[in-house]
Amino acid sequence: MRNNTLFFSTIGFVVFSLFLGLQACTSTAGPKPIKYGKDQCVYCKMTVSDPRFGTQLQTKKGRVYNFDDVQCMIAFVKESQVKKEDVAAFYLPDFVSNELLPAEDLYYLHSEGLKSPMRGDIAAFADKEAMEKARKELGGTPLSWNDLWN
Amino acid sequence: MVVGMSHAATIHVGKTHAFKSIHSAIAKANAGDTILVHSGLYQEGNINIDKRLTLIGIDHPVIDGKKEYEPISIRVEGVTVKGFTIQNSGHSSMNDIAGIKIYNTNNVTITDNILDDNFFGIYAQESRNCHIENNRLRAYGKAEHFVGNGIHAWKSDSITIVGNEIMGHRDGIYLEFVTHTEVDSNLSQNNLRYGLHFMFSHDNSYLYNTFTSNGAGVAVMYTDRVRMEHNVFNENWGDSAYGLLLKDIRDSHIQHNVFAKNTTAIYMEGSNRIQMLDNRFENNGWAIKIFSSCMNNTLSRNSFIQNTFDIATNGGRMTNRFEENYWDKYEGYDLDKDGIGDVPHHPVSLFSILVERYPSMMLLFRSFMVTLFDRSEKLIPSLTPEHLKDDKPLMKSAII
Repeated sequence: MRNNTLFFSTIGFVVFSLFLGLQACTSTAGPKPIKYGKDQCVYCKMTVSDPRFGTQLQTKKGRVYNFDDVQCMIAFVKESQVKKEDVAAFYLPDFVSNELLPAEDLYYLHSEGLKSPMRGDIAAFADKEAMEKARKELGGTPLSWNDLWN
Repeated sequence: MVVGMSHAATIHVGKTHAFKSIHSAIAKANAGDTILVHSGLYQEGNINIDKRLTLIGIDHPVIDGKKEYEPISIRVEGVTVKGFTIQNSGHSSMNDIAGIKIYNTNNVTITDNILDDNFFGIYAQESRNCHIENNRLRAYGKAEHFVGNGIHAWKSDSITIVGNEIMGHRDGIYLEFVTHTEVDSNLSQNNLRYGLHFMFSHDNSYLYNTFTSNGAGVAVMYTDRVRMEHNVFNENWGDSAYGLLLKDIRDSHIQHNVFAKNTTAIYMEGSNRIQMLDNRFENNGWAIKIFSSCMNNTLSRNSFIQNTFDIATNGGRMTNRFEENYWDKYEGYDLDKDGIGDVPHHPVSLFSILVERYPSMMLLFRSFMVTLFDRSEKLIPSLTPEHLKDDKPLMKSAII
């Protein structure tokens, strides 16, 4: 009986540890919060301070890089500091909610009126109507994620 | 009629005066008039100054934007705004709303005002010959909220920014596409990002300023011909905090500055032909991080005192000249008593190179092994750049 308790508590402990391990693994998915005012853009070395424009890149190995402007992120990849095929995900903030979202699903606006930190002057929108609304106010051209790479 | 033109009128605004609102006074005034505003609270939405007027506040009357409006907009040349308290401008993610904003005009003077809790403080866009002096700006920005810059100039020329105090904004002073501008004797403190920030702004100078406890001190980026003299950069602590960040800078002067108690006093990348002379580096984590992308810089007559590391680099060939600096870590001798050490000083320690590659090595700092490494490296250099050395190290600091 005593042995049994020990046995089950051991099993329990092992399962619990495994569970913790898995937790650690699963938490790598999705964007990591950017510490605005603290984190530094790996490309231009500026402090990331504007949540409307801070972006993130995650590699397949799980490394996270933050940028203050999508222009920096694209230059970083184009200069092969991280190769595009090694990138697991690109995240950009929705201009309205500032929530980091996968880059492929967003609508983009290029407008000088946006005045982004490194003058990339590109904002991302989760919602197409919100993009059109901003475009009406500031002018500019709508773009797709692929356009940003040309 | 000629008489009427030459006699500028003075109009009083206040509870006990003919004009109760600033709006009504501006509507009535002619170009060249002076409007004296007596103390009181003025909540008039946006005050748009579209005539050449001088507005003077007596005992700091309060102009309140009620967190909705831009308190003062200036759209014509020759306007003066002096002696007001301007507070609570609107916030917007689309427009840069400011306490006082100067739109596409010249010869505007903004002096002796208090700006409290505005989105941007004083903002000049596409303007020339403006004078911003002796204003006190305060905002209450938090990292997760968006707050504007204290004094912000964009696509402007010949702006003088003198004797202002800026706290709690994103950047204390921000210049983008701005030329021939002087930033003198300002105090920029506790701002979220930088004390002063230059982007694409050539031929400017900043002298006798103090930058203290900002997210980072000063960032000078993508800019040519900047004079940086007699400034104090201190208390910029944090992972990515610098006293001075130089990124893609050319042909600039950094002279007679004091860098004290910064994580990294100067971080330079892609910067060429900079004269760094007579500066004092004291009690910093790193005095200078100079990357191999930096070429033809001269560092002379500087004093390095009580820094954890004096120079760090990522190696590679160096074309930078270190000459006649004072290094408190110098262990040479001066037999001919000419004040210059007889053997060269290598300011890059082996350990600083290792820390640059493997930051977690910092754990071993001041351990016996590290001291041993550094000693043996001094005798037989292997990893540290051999040509990065000061051939004429001073025995005494050239700066008092």
